Amino acid sequence: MSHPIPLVPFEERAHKALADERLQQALKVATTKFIVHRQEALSLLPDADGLRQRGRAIRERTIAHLDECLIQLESAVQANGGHVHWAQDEVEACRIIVGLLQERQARLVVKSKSMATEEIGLNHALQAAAIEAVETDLGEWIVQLAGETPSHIVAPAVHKTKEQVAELFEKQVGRPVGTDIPALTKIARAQLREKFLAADAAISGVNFAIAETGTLVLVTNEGNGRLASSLPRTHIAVMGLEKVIPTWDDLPALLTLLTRSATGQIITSYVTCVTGPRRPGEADGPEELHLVILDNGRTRILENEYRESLYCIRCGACANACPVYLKIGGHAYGGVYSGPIGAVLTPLLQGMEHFGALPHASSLCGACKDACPVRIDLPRMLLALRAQEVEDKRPPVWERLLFRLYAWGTSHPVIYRLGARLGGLLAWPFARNGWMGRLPVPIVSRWTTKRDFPAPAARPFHARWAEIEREAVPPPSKDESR
Amino acid sequence: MATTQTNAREAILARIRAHLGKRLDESVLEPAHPSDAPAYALPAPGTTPAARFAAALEKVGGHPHRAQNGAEARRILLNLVAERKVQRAILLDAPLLHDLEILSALQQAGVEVLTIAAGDGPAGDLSAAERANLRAAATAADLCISSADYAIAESGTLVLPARRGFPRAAPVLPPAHVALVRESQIVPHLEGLIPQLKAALKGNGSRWGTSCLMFTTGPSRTADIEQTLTIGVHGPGDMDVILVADQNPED
Ligand code: SF4
Repeated sequence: MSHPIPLVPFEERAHKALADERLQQALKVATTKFIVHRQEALSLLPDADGLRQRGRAIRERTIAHLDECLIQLESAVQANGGHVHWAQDEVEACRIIVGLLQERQARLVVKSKSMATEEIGLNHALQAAAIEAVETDLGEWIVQLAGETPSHIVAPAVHKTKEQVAELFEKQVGRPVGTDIPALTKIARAQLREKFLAADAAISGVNFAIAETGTLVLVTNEGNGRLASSLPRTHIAVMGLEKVIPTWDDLPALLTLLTRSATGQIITSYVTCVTGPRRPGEADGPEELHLVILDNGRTRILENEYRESLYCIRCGACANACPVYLKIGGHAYGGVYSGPIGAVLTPLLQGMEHFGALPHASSLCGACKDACPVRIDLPRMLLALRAQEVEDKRPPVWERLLFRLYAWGTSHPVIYRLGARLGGLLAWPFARNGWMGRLPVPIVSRWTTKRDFPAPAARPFHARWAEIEREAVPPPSKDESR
Repeated sequence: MATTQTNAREAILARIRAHLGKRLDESVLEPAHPSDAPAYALPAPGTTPAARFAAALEKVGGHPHRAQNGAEARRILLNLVAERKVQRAILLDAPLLHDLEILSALQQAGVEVLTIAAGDGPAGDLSAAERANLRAAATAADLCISSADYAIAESGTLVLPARRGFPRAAPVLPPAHVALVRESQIVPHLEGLIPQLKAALKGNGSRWGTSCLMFTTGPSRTADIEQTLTIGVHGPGDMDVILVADQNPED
């Protein structure tokens, strides 16, 4: 039931994205806007870098005391009348959630944006149990209607045009709707409002869970998080276990780092801090509140040098800053999390076998680390994962032999010269303006499918060097060299 | 189920403890430098909290208003009601709204007002039917009128704790929300508010004083279709805040 493993390899997905000019245009508009707004919002602070250090320190302290924080969170949620469930993996998580819904005979569920439920493939599990689940974040709803997955942490439907959205909505309401964006938004409001009022339960993510009071913080701009935690009689919140923070005093720094880094807002339109279900005398709020604490590979990450990937607060700034993301978009990553943090987390959470190529989807330029509000060293981890991938699958015998042969050849001048000339001759028919594109030769083609290769020079460097020396530099006379 | 749950809990905690026990090489995991940098912008010199709140709210697409006294506040509110052709309004409970006699002002203007009383005396719960009625009324209302416990100058944010008389969804369901706030309720920034909130909501050391603390900043917004900013998705498209100057004798 987990997030599906993509059927086509990363290279192919990336190629497809690279050929999609409209996608690249949309990505450019979106990420440029995010980058500019982020810059502005951070520059308002007297010491933005200091605040990032502070944010990092909070995350470091939290993760270092993760067990205590989670136990405190659990007892505080329970003291408020909420229920806590622990899930080791996606199967357990889906079983718990589907079980809770079935016990309550829930038929319709509204969802408020949650990456964790994408990660556990909850929508498939709900579908299998014949429970209708409706995404209520506008972008997520569009993506759901299209049968796709989000392509950006903050802007899930960045890859869709308004014409495509109109087409999807037309099917939904059964009449032509036009492409005016405010009008489309109104249609979504009306459709989703009905769902909110009719829903038996709400499922949401959690941006921060405050251990000291058992408070779940939901950060949205549309207000769907607020409605989800107010209207249906059951609210199930799903959090990755790293989402906990110790106290209310830790909230302002992390919250404003999140919103400033994500969209350049000082705060989002709605920040909803849920501390338990409805209390007697209150006119709304759920009768029951359930918190699902999800491991799903996270405790494994704690063990080693990838620990700091759990500091992530999911702002998406690393993706916006990434030149590779800018070109290929979120879908090419194939997992739930895209951009540089996705290239680290997806292989760690979902396995190197299927996602070993992702750490290579980076130029290691360091822009992601510079953008990260908690200064996660993404390039370091990308490199470490690459090394691990190479370790995991040692090159085949022929490749190792070839490199041994190459080493031998380059250390024997006569062989080397011969090889260089031969190379130039062999490559000559394929070279165009000094570059070779795709080569039709089996082994070599593996290099040239992904990058153009410089054609060997017609005359090797060592030959030219000897010539230049002969022509231009007269040998020093014995007197001068004294 | 119960045993799987205990097992899952124990297994997760055991893994965390085992893995945290391993010290990581500091050269690999760069430790954070201690820092006490503020989580807010320093207010521009010479500006008042009220002016900063108004500017911040305006910036996010909300509509700030300033009133010198209660009479002016009522006038502004009634203007908005007329402009937006409000027929039905939901009025949440707050001392300021009582003091300013908002209810009678609305009724005199011919607006059908649903009040949600804080309820007095020992806590009686609302029945499911009563709650369903309230929800239906809030859904049908053209406007929600409330106060706020605090307002944050830096971001133009209202701080609204859910309680008896203040349902979580009431300010979000109607297409418009007007809040009346005393200038003395404005604090400079969220970070400075936290100790106050803790003092107000932690009470006698028992559980947190509200089931839902809500921060609301401007109208409901999205940019999910072609990165075009659009307001009024799930919540109100119009968010007005009337800042009322602090009480003076002529009020
Ligand atoms: S790694 Fe850093 S920049 Fe990327 S999403 Fe996480 S917190 Fe944001």
